[in-house]
Amino acid sequence: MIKHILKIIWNQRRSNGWIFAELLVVVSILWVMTDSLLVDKYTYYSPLGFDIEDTYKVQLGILAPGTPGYVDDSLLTTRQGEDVLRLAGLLRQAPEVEEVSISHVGCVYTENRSWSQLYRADADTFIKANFRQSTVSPEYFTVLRMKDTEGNLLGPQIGQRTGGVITSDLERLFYGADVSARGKAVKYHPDNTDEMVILAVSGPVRESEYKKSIPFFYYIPSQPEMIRQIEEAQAVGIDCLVRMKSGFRPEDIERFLQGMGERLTVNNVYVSSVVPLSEMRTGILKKSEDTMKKKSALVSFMLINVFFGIIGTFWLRTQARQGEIGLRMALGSNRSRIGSLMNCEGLMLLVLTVPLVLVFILNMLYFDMLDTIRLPYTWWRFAVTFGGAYLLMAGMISLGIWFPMYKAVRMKPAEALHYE
Amino acid sequence: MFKQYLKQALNMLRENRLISLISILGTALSIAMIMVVILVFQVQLTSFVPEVNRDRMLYVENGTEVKAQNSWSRGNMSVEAVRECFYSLKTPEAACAWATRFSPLSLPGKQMFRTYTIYYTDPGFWKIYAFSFLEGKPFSEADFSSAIPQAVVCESVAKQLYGTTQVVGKPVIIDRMSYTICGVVKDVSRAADTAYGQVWTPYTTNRVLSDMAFMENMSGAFNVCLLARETSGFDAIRQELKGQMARYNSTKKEVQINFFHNPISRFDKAIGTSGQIKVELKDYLTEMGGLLLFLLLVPALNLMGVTQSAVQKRRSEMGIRKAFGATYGDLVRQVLYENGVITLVGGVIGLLLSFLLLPLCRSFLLEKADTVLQSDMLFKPGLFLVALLFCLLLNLLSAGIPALRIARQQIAASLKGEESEEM
Repeated sequence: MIKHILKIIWNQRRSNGWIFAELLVVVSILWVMTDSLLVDKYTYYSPLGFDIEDTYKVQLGILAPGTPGYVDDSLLTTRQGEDVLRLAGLLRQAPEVEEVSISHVGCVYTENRSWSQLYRADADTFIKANFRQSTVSPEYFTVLRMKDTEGNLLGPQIGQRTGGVITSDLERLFYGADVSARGKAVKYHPDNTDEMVILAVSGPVRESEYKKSIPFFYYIPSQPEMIRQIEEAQAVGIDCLVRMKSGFRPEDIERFLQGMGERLTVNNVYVSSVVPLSEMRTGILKKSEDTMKKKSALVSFMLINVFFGIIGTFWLRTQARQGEIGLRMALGSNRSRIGSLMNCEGLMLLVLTVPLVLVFILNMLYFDMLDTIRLPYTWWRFAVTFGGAYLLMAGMISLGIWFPMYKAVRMKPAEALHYE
Repeated sequence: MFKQYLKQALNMLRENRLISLISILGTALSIAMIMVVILVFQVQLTSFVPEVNRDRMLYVENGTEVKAQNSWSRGNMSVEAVRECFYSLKTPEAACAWATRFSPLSLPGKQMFRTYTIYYTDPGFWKIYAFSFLEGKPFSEADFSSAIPQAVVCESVAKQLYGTTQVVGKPVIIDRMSYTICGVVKDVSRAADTAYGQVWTPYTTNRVLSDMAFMENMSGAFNVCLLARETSGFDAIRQELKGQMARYNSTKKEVQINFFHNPISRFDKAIGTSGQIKVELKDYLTEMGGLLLFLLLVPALNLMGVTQSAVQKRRSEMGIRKAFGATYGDLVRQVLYENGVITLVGGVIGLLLSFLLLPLCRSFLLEKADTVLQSDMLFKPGLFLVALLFCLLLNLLSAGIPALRIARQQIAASLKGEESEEM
């Protein structure tokens, strides 16, 4: 049967040539798309390292001179940093609020980033690199429900102590695979004397769903130091993150804020607006998700074209071979055999593309053109993408052959022979 | 002769309905996808209200770098940097510094917390962009220099706050500060990525914003937009900017400012260059060219097989025509014209389909969510020419080779109906 089909294909190589070329182009591009969509999806479902459910970002403001409510410098008894901390305290006391944290460049799903060098306090050799870092209050880990490498919540482990928290990526980089970093010290500069003790090690943290995890460092300063940093960055540049009690809906924010009234202002620092982190997430992820949708659109485009191409080619072939089909039927072939012959022909054309596509895949791997950073190239990745692409194509081909096959099989032998 | 081809082509279409339908649909789909790609680029590049001078504009957005010995800051610039490097330029027709913030709008006695895009800028803004005022007028030079809290609001904000657009003179509280509305404009589409806002007001009224200055007063919150006198004036502006930058840097002790590859033109922005990342034209062309070629190639391969068999069926007819004196060129032209009918019909359907697809898919095709599409963004005369060009390309690709092949066949072979090409 297979030899017979191969012979038929070879005999019609002129017109088969175009459809073969199309199948080759389409299956190659389809494989590239399936591969990149697979990596995106796989990365999406890996753990993020934090949880933003019921979490909101509070934007703080500073009253300018001349605005109603402005407290003149001469009348102030507290520093701006102390006012910010007091405001956070007032928010924390509200019944709808579970926890509030203050941080500098600690908000997630934003374009703001801060990098800094970091060194082990106990080593002679240094890794000179910049790491993502944030200055945070101890409640930060409770607000974002961050966990350590064993899966336990970090908040209770840290309490109200000062020091540092690093992620497991940084721990592995600094201390190797099996050494725990707890209790060890780090510093910002090799010549610094003030060190920060690592209080806990968090699980891997990623910036967003489509990125790979990178080393992070969180510095929990003492209260005076925190106040100083708040004033340097100015209250408007501070990230105040709030976790509301579960059951609180984003639509209730307006009502909640209006209910807080005067408690939203401490001297010249006030709460300007509140945004759910889920909204910020949508904004940050938009670009990646748009690219995925565009790739899916291209995949659909290709599959529809293959469908059209297959229908067209096999329809014309059926028409031209009416005589042959009639003859076969007159000589005793039953209808379903003719149908399956056509199906096999189409699928055989697809199978013939396999060696060429394998060469293409090997080339792509050799020239490192695939995304192996987020997901290493393993056998299952190959099986899923290669198999997926070919299954889709086989499906489209079978679908495309169905109509011409239906027509061919319904032909009456006498009529078909009469044509000839 | 044309009428003859047209009649023959229509007859051919009728003869094999399924194949004709597939060919036309395939062409329509291909042209639709291509035109959607072109339209998305067009929305990025072409001028429309209020950004009517896009061809003459230069941008410095999020493109400031201030370097000290041990640290650097990348982002926007301070008011001092704007003044020293950009307001001092003589070559451009106008310059404007701007920054946007999301702040709540309230009414006196009614504190509200829903945020809007507040656009803080200077009088140069109104010279660069064309806004039509439904009521009132823009804030003036005097308002800017004296930091008088005047604000221009868009139509939908006026309606949300007061239920009407007759709001000139009424108060609006932007984030605890009281402003007076001096004008109302029509809503701006988010596709106008540099001019978009919901409220426009002088930045001098926001002390926090204008006083924001780090790293020896160079780094801050502002972007800059310049309007050149003519499109050829870009280089002169860049030269003058270099001079002003050097002069400003010489007044600082430990830090230096630079603007990467900025100021960039609208075309640079359309191909993907941003304040800190430059996209080379050749990289963009390779990617875009590859995509368009792919969108043409796959349907062309489809059509080639179909055209080939259709043309082969008429071997004897071609042979007779050749015997009667038709030239090589005549036969090729015949095939191309007849196929052209299919591609043109498919092309028209495709173009119409693209105008339907773009609004439907704009949530992932366009950069900003909820972008309103205006007719002056989409309907440009050049667009139809581009669509025609792609139809012709598709025609050539799909019918060219079969046409050349059939025309080259020997007369005797064609007349004999020789089975050199089996179906």
